[in-house]
Amino acid sequence: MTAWLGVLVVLLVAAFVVLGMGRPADRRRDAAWLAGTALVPPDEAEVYARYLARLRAHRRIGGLLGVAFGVTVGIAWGGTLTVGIGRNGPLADPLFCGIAGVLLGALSAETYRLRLPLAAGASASLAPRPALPGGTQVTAARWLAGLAVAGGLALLVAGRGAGALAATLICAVAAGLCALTRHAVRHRRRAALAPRALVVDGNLRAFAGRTVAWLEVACGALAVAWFGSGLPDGAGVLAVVVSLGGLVGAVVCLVKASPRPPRRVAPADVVRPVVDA
Amino acid sequence: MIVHVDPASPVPVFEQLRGQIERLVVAGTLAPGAPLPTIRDLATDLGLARGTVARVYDELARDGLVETRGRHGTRVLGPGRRRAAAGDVDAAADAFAVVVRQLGLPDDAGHAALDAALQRLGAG
Repeated sequence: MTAWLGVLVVLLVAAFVVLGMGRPADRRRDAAWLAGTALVPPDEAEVYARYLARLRAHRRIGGLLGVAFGVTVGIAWGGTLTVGIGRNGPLADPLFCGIAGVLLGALSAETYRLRLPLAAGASASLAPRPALPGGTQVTAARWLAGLAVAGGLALLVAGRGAGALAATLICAVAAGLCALTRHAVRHRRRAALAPRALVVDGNLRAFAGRTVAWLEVACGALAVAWFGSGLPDGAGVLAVVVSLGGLVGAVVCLVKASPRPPRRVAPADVVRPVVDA
Repeated sequence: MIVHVDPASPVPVFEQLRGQIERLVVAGTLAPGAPLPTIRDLATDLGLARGTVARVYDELARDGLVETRGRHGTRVLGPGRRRAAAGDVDAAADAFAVVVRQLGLPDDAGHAALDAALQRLGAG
């Protein structure tokens, strides 16, 4: 892509982020989305709202830092700004660095916990932790990343240089970061003060597992895109399809991993909070 | 099925946890075949060392109440020949009554404390 296109995309991303920051959070709609029901008691809605606020802030800061890093590296190394595949590798790509930054932000938010009071007793449920949702996406992401790395290796063996392999490996590392985040989500401390707390905790855990799984697919798709960029000139259309498909897939997955309720979720005016009896 | 440990209690947390799981198994609340959380997860939730929870599971396995099968986790085997005894509640009540007397509290305060504790644990 040309430099002007890169600048345009970065400006669009910046505008998107600024608009997102300016949009007030609809707490009742957020709570209904995470709880899977419109009937959410106010105290639970507060827990959901605080969780989402922290997650959004960490992801936004991580994403912005990632994009800034990509832009800086791109300009410093290549003297130009390239979004998506380019000569300078994923570390100079604001899209990849942005996704990696969002991932780091998600990891930071999901591992953030207040310290336990020292002398207080602790409760725990004896029910084993349920498996996180998003298993299909994780499998798909690992296949994508694995195939891309194998393709990069094949290109290296065929004498096409190590660039594609290095790029796909960097994307695979980002996918590994997703696996680390899901691991942290699954095994973090579980609130067991009451059965209701367990349900809320389960909802938050399921949401985190699902969004991180989509981020992992995004990393896998980017790995495929970078593999496509290393294909020989003779590959022609195939290289374009693989690269473009990977980039589009990554953006779609990034949207799916967004911590914002989709439009189909009922608007706030139909979500009535329930007061505890 | 929620267990609770109190580090400030004179009873060691190991014994608190072992006793609670044993009672749940003997009473049938934890049915045979029911999986227990992993050592790491339970230790994380309770803020205990993994070795403490591992020792609890080992003791329960030695008593034939649970079975640990490596990567497949720990499962409840059943109460075996043990039966829940009303005497357990009597013994606990005796210990509680001793504390109330030693502190010089009126009977009403003891009853209120017991009611509050049952309330905190929720419906039976």
